[in-house]
Amino acid sequence: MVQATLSSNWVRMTTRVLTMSLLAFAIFGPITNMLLWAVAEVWYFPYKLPLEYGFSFWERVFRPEGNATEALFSSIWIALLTVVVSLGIAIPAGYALARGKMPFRYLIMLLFLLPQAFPAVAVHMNVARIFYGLDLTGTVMGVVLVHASQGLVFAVWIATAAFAAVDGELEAAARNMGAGRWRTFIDVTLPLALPGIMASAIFVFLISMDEFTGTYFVGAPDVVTLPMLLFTSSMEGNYQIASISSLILLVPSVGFMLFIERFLKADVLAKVGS
Amino acid sequence: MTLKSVLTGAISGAVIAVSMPASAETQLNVITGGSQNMVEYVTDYLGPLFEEKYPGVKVRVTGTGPGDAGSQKILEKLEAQSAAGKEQWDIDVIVAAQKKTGEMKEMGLLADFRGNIETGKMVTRETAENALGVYVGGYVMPMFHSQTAIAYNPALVPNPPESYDELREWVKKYPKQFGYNGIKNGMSGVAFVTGWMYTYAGDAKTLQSGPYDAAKKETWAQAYADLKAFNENVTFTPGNAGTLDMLNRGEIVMGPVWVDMFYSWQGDGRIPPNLKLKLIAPGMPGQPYYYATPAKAANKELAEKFIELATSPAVQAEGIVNRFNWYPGIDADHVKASLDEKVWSKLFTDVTPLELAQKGKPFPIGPYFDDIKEGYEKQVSN
Repeated sequence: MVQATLSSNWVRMTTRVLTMSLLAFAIFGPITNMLLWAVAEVWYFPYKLPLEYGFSFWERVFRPEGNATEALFSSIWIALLTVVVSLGIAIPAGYALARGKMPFRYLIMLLFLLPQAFPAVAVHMNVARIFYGLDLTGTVMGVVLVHASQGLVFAVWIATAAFAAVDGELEAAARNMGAGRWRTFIDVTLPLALPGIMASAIFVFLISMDEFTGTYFVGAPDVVTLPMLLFTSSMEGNYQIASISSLILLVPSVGFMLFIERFLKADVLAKVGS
Repeated sequence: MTLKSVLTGAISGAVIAVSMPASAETQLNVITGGSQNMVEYVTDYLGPLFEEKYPGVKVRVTGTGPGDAGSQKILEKLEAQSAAGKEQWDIDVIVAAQKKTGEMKEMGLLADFRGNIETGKMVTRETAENALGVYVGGYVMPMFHSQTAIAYNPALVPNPPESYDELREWVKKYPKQFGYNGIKNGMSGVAFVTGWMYTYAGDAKTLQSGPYDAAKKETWAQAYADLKAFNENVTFTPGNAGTLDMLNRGEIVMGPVWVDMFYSWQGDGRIPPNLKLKLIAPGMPGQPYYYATPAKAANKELAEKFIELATSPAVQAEGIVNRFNWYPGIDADHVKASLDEKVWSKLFTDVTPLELAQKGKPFPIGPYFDDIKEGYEKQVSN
């Protein structure tokens, strides 16, 4: 009997360790490979490791003609603006959908899904056609609007969930103490929903950072973002350039997350989605 | 590349991003299909050369990706502006694949400009007039011609197949050692399939130059069935670059590639230096990429000057042949004079000019081309 429990414990432990190591490998394996490719100069079969290491591909990406730095900054700038625009719509919309007695609530939620429901190229080509008429093509604003239309579905859905999760009795208590509707929203509801809203901000930021099709149809040739510079090389198996661009894209994303994390204490962030 | 230069780049980028000045100079917008090497060609070589010649002009390059899919994006952007009724379009020069350029010309999206430039007289090849069945004389200048061939590793394949027939025998003997990308993510696989149809579907001449007969595709069943059987013994790759990459990692020892990409990758050390090319009989297709200018380009004259420079013998010699390993777009005799023998013969190491003349084929005319790809989807890859 004791034997049996021991061995079953042992089996459980082994399975756990194995699963954990597999998981770690699945996460860190590709990242290690990416890091290797980013500094590999010459690497071909049958060699297991690169033959020469160096930064010549970094030079290629950051050469002055390449405009990579300019593109990186306009990517970040556009992503930040997209977050502002999306949250500006998602906060009131999410609050209304979660608290208000709205008719056709689900229909409205589904409406935000529409841009995701059709092939991207068809949607963006027609957006481009309309924007050409409004003279919005080739402007940062035009690109931000396109990115926001893609980010909104996540922002609104997550914000709705975040507001729905706020305990209504807390709001009622604030109203009892004489706070007005606006005051209650600012001092009680919004702070409690903030972690969820910030999570949606991270999402929108990331979507904007690596969006290609809409940026091309609405922004090119005047607005250039990093994915537009490196999209072609990443698609085709130019591993060095693809790895370098992934690393570059990681930096602002991780930075943005760290900023949010400082801004909201970790224990609050842990409640995201609860 | 030092950290310091990255930082200076970052800081200057920040300054640009914050100030974002509207520049006083004229901007010439070039939009190019094709692989990354084509984007780099305009960004690093042609653009700076033009800016040097025409001070106050800034060349801006956007890449849209390889194959017909990449050039389709150019077509759509022009179409969107045309549909919106814009009087001035935001693209001045396009670089696009054969079939899509033909379509753009038919849709009235391109300008007739060849008569306005000096170098217009230097092209006599058939592709300068005919883009897979569409008459494009006057509307295009070939940027380069490229060719597909079979790349192989001579250390592992001492006697490579000389023809499609021999290749069929070869894959039976060495299953999964030959790889290609089917007809997705790049034209090298499409070219291989096209060469197969030229060999086994009969009447290659008509496929290449018409006239079109819709009933013809009914006679191809056997060729497709044989290709399906052939595919049982091959490895599928992710695309143009994917084939080269799998050759590099030794997952396959043979596969169809674009000649220019092959030489460039070899130059970069991304495939082993000992790999070689073979153009198998009866032949495989190649294609030009075209320069053209949209019907309502904002900077029409500058665009023509740009194409004129790009197709001048000196630039074709130095840029197209020497740096990027393509075959020239204008007639070779104009280019050869500007090159030393060594550079010229580098292009013809594995594929001689005679072989190229005999076995370099055009792609089929548009409707047959569509039939071939559709038949492949239906009868081979199902």
